[in-house]
Amino acid sequence: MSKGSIVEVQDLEVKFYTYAGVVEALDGVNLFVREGEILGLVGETGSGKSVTSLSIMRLVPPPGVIEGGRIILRDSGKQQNTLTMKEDTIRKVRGKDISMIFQEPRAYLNPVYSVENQIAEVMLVHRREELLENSIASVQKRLIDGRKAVLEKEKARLDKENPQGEKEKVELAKRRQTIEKRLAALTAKQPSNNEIASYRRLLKAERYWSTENARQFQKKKAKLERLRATLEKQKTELEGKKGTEKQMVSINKQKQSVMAWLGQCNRQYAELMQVEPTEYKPGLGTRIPGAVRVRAMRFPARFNRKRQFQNEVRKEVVKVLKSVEIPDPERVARMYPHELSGGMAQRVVIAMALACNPRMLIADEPTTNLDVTVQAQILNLVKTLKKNLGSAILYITHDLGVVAQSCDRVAVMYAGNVVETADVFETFSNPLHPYTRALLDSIPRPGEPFKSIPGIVPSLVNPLKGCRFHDRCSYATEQCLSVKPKFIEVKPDHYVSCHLYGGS
Amino acid sequence: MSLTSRWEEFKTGMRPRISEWRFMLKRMRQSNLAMAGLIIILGFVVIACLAPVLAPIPSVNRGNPWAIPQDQTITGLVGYNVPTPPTTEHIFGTTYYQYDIYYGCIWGTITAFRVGLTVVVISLIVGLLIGTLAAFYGGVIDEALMRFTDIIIAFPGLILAIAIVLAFPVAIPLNLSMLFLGISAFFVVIFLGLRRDRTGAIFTSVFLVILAFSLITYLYFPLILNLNLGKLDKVLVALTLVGWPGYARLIRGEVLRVKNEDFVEASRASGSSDFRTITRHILPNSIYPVFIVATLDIGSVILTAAALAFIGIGAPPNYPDWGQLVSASQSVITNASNIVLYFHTFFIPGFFIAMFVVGWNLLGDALRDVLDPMLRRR
Amino acid sequence: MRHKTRETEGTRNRASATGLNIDFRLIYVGVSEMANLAAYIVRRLILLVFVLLGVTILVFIVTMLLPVDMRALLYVHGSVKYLTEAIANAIQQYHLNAPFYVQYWTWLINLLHGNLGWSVSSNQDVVVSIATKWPYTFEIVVFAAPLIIFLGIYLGVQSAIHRNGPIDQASRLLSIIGWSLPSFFVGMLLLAVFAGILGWFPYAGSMTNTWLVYMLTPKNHFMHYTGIDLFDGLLNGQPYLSLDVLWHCVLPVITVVTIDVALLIRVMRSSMLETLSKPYITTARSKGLSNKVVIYKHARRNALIPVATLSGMLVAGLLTGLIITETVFGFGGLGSAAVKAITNLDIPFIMGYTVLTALLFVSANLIVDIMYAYIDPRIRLD
Repeated sequence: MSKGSIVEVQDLEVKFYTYAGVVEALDGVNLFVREGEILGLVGETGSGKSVTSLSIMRLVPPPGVIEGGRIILRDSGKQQNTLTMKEDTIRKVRGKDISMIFQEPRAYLNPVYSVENQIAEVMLVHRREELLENSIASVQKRLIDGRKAVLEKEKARLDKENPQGEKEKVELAKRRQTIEKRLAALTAKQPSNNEIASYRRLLKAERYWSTENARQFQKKKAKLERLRATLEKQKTELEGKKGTEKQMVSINKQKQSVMAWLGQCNRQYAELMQVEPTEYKPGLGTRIPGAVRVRAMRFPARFNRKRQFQNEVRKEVVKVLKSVEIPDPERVARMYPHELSGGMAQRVVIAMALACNPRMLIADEPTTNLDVTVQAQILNLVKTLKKNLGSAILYITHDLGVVAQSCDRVAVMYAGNVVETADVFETFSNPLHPYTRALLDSIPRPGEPFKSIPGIVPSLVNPLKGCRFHDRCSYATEQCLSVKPKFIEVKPDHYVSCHLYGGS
Repeated sequence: MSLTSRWEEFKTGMRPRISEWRFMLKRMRQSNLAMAGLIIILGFVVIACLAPVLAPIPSVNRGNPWAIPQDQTITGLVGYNVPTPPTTEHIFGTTYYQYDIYYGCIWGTITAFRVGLTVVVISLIVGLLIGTLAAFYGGVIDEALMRFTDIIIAFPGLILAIAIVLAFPVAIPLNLSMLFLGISAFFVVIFLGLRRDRTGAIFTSVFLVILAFSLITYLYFPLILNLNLGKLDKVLVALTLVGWPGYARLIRGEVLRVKNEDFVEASRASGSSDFRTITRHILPNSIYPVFIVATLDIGSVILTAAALAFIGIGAPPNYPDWGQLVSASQSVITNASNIVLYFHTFFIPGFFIAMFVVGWNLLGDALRDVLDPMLRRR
Repeated sequence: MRHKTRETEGTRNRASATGLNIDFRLIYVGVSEMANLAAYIVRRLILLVFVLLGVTILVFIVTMLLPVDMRALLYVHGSVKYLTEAIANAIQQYHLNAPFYVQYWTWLINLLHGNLGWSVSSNQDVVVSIATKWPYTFEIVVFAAPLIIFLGIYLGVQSAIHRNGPIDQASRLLSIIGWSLPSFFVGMLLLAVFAGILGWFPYAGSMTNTWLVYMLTPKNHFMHYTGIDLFDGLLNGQPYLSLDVLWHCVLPVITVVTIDVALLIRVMRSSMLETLSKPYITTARSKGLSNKVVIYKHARRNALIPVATLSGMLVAGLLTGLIITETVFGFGGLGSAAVKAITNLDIPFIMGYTVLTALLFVSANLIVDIMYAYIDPRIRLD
């Protein structure tokens, strides 16, 4: 089972404690999704598909309780059980490793915030550093380009000049040399230490320094500044001094030492301003008692770092919207959910889910409420995205046609259990479980009589003992009434939960 | 259809509703606060029923319970006006002019129920009628009725109530002809728009008959009813007139919401008359918030009545009514020491009022909590 | 979570450090959206005028029930010597013998010019009477209203988040009790306990007599800059006067707040509970947002919508009707003046007061609706 799977659900049990009684929604669900594949989860209404998907992300609403089982999330060799993760950790998973899209897109978007706002929100939670670095880089690039342009203009102007005298020619040459040097330095220019530090502080806007650290930092800074002030004063004093040659020698020596000290002082200062609170790297939302916040520095209005960052985020949002094939993404980004049509809204929701390049996408009947043509578009989109991003998709639906067309593997659910799971071709050509067979038989075909499954969907308040399908199954045996079949691999990569295939 | 089968049909139709009510009761029993509210109200009901036993009518009243006895033993200009603290003879003490607070509070329970229930029930009915009609028929009717209600709502409730009470003559000659004329004209206009079915025709013709009749009597032989309204009755009328727009707006909102549901369209498509659609489908689904508001409103009506009494507009001085007892204690605020000394004069009746309102509020809150999952399940 | 997190601050900053909450809307309200908003406001203003006219007509009809002489009397100053002459003058000046619409028109014009007649109950022009009395109501409302709104919102949200927790139970109990107590009861109780027994707060009135005398003594040159004693004290360099006013305001404000915050808590709580069960909250959680962001950014804003109407009406209601509280605490504001006017059948004052009230309510309605249209982008076009 565990070959290359991103998410593996093992024996998941979920119960809902409602006023009408205890609903045993999931009764030992076994499921796995492999890297880069589309798994279609089919089942009738009430079979537990949505609850399964919500449990993977631990979003089951009360009065639901996840009672048992494990959900393994694999991440480059490591694996964790999402059900026992701490709240912080699972929050980092949501939106970033696994994300979800839902059935009625306009209901699932917050009506008072614009599309842009909602997409950017998820980016800022998970990709903040990356975006910040990008914005730093882009600002630096603009700065450098600006300076380069100025210098180039100066150079062009100087080239046009044609001085006559010797001295002027020399001057011109010198000036051109300076400009060339500056240009050269520019391309290799690194942002100054101060700038880096200030960016780092914007990055760590919510990181907390301990009071101790902050106090030490302030003390050191003050000390260095005082030292620098004194040294500067001495320097100016010494420069003004003139005296005899002997005195000049000592004066020069003093000047040298002062310069050396000054140099060292400046270096230490620059180093200090780059200090990171390495011992405290709190995750989102934790607080260090006695912490003090260090605020980012003020910036010149022309390159307001915060606005640059916002612009960067906006660009990313537009990029994501473009990737879901929304026309005129800048305009759509500013719209509100109620202004979007169904198909557009669903694309927006998909964009929101993909904003942080998740490894797995859970799609809970995303096209059920849409027109058939729009459905086709969305399906194609999902397939393209899977191809481009390589994310796995758990596609929940009750439409077998969709499954046949788009999915790589199929899992069939009935009354809170996964009864069969296999490759899509295998399932459709060789269904093993009686329910799967009946389901496939009930697809209307022209010219053939209409076959339905006898009986009704069971109520999960008092579920049947043993195999939950036995009252509608034409192959039920004595065993099926009392013993629940196990979920075993009957054929290579074809799992069934039925006594007919040795599930006892 | 035979009678028994109709009864069977009714019972099966009611089954889901009955199970809903059972569910509601079970939830109510689970909540402590709800039970507390119920107990409080039941306690007041018991007091009201046992009033003649708990506070026997004094012989001077000659059988009329609606006059608080005054303690005549404390005479003299000085002692007459001063409240006395609780003693064995006067369990709650006496207030200014020696009215017995205990008697007033016990019989005041009956008054409280009367005030609360009358005002709420009548304003509920009126508001329901207007609101449902406005919401159901929409268009001009809706606009006209809603502007009318808006204008009434724009007035400050308390002030309007006071104005109505003061402006109402004590004995109004109610021109019944005119009243019936107005009402039937209104309904004829409404029902003329009804679908051409049997019920609509019946209603229209009935109201047309009333219209004709009242027109004739108005022109030739007006029916005038001389109503003698006691001061408290004027307050009731005023509060009803001020209270119905709230219900109208509420039910209108709900009916508008329910009107667009599929089952209403289904009902209309299957040929139900408007009346049937409204009574069978729309009202039962929209009326629950109204019940909640009505329960809470009983409490607030009592509070408003008490506030009016405090200002001086309410029952006459010897009438057993909680608000009236508090208004008698109004002179307490003239002096600081008086408040502490004559604490009982305003505290005890005030406490009764507070408890009564608390009971209804708890009930209303419990009802809201109980109906909430049901409303959401819809 | 094992350690208690004081995430509120951090989250607030994080939510605004996304920087994308209000900014975008301000920047990106396009031309067409602004035109829609403007059209909406204009439409509502016209409706406002209509409702006001309706109110004035209604009020005016009431006065038409009186005979001519009585109506004329309403315009006559109380201290006039020759009454019959004054009545005759009034009849002529205000066209009281003319047909209905002429009278109404004259009355309306006079209204807009600020002449509402003479108030018998306060022996002044109606306008003067209202102008001198409303500051006292204002003093109470200016403290009570923000307290009610913010306390109500905060407690409502906390109750909803920790449903059935201690805060919830306590808030609900207090809100039920607060809502159920008659206002005079609370007021008199507070007076009895805090003024009578403990003596911490003053007894009645809006100012102690010494300061009142100070204000009235001409040689102190007390300038009534705003008409509101609270501010005038500061503006005249007498901070202790303002403090005195504040001291007198405490108990009435507590009375008002206790009673009205209950309703707000309840509405906020139920609205919040309803919002928290909406689908987009699940989406927000599935994005990995922290619980506090989900609650304060996503849920609360949507939940505030019905609360906004309520608080608008509440403030309007407070401004027009603190009748009982003012009577109990002897504050001499609009409410108690209105009561006095009604009991004395002071019709001009009643009319003026009614028009003022209608104006306040309808404008509060309009402001709330405009706020709605701003907060909730779905409501623009109506």
